[in-house]
Amino acid sequence: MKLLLVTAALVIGLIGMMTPWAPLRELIDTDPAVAHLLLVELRLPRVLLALGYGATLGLTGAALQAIFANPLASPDITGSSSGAALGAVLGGYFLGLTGPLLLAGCGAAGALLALLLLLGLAGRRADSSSLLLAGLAISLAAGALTSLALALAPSPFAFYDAFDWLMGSLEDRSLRQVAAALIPAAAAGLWLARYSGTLDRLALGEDVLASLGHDPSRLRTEVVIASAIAVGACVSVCGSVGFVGLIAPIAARRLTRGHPGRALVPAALIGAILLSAADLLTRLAPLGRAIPLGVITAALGTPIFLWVLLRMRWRLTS
Amino acid sequence: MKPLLAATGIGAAERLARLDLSLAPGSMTAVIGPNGSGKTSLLRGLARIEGPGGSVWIGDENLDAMVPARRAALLGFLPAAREMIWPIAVRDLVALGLAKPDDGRVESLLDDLELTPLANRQADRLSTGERARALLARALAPRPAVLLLDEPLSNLDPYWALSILQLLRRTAAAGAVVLMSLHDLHLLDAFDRVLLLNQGVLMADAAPDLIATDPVFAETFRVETDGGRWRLR
Repeated sequence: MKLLLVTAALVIGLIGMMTPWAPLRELIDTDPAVAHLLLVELRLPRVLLALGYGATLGLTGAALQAIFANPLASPDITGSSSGAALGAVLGGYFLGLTGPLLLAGCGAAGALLALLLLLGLAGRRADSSSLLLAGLAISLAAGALTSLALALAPSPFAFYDAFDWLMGSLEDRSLRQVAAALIPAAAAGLWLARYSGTLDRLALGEDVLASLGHDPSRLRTEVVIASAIAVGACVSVCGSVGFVGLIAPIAARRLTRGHPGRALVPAALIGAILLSAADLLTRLAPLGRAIPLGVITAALGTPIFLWVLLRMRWRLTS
Repeated sequence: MKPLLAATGIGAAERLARLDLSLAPGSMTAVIGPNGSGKTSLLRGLARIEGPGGSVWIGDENLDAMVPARRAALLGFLPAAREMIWPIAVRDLVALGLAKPDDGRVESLLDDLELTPLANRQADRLSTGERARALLARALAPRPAVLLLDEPLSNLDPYWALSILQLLRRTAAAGAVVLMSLHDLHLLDAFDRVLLLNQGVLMADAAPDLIATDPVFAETFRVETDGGRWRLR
């Protein structure tokens, strides 16, 4: 709790320090219409999405790691992000859906399908290699189907339209899209956060949890459905962003002395910070053209992922 | 004496024929039988893990009707699996068994099981025997009225097997029910009562000195004693 407060204070302090208050005040005073456009229409959706999507990735990553009893599970590794992208592409280009909330629903359905497929392929308490292999297979299949769907799409510009979105982007989203992504994600996130104590006890094994009067398979079902809703809604608006959902929970568990359930809320905070920082980097990149968000998170995340993998291997053989 | 734990119709399809069981407070009971005889199914059935069959009462309370917090206070279950994948420190692992933080209780259990030097070691980095002790401490932590332990003495050397039996005897003397499955038949003398299972059927239910001389015992295990040593029949 203390830690959360300190983190929150730090973040607020940083925001305060980095905000150019004086020019901002001047702009609001001289041209309120432009200021409104800049702040509310352009900046606000982007900031909200970075914080909300990052928190969603951290929280669902932590919850999925806890129920799969596997520190490598995450929305991207389990294939649920790719499933959500496929769902949203099919909904948008073939069912002709345009409402952001309907697309979010398609994303959630795709993510849920991917997670159910993973449970079928890898089993409930999957060892790391079966989880990674099954997740990889689902990601590849969903990616290929997404490309196929875009190639066959009625609109000839589908590929170009979808490219930025598929690589993960928070730019130029409307407040309606923000609501479609973050309201379901917040509801699902609160649903998941209720289980942090139960997920800690799951560390003792499903039998111990059942002996305490909980229903482990129901817990698993609820976590899978809530994660699918949260991830699906966010992916349908922002595309899939890798690694944040893997790394934020791993970092959070260092703060919770290894407890997988207690790490849920800190993982959400860390995810929000990571994705905001990554989005900041896409804009600061000195290449003239913004680098896609997914590229930044992959560049930062891959070394950490490899480090975790090596450490696990080292631990297994030592 | 009025039983503390009363169970009726406990069973599991193809693994354990339905049976009734009452256990008195202060008693230590061992469940023995060859591999696959239904020991784990019996313990899981009593802990209500095995599905809805039968009913289990602790005192006047039906286990199925209890909220998780009440169940945690009355029932301690230790599964046979000893793996732990999360890097949780031994001290925190023991505390996971408690509804409210109680440092005094955790420290005294760590002390009883000589885990104090390992208290800050991550449970996934312990030896199997050390982890077995840490997980047992977790099950004991809330001072449950009923302890159901699946092979708590496996992976332990003789010093630890005997020490844990002594600790469980103290727990039982304080009024608890202890029921555990057991492989090492040399340790039967530590118990008040022995249940012998074979192929999912309760074959005998008697005091340890009676059970070892029962012909059913030799038949079930397919061994016999010869001046204190086992040999194949």
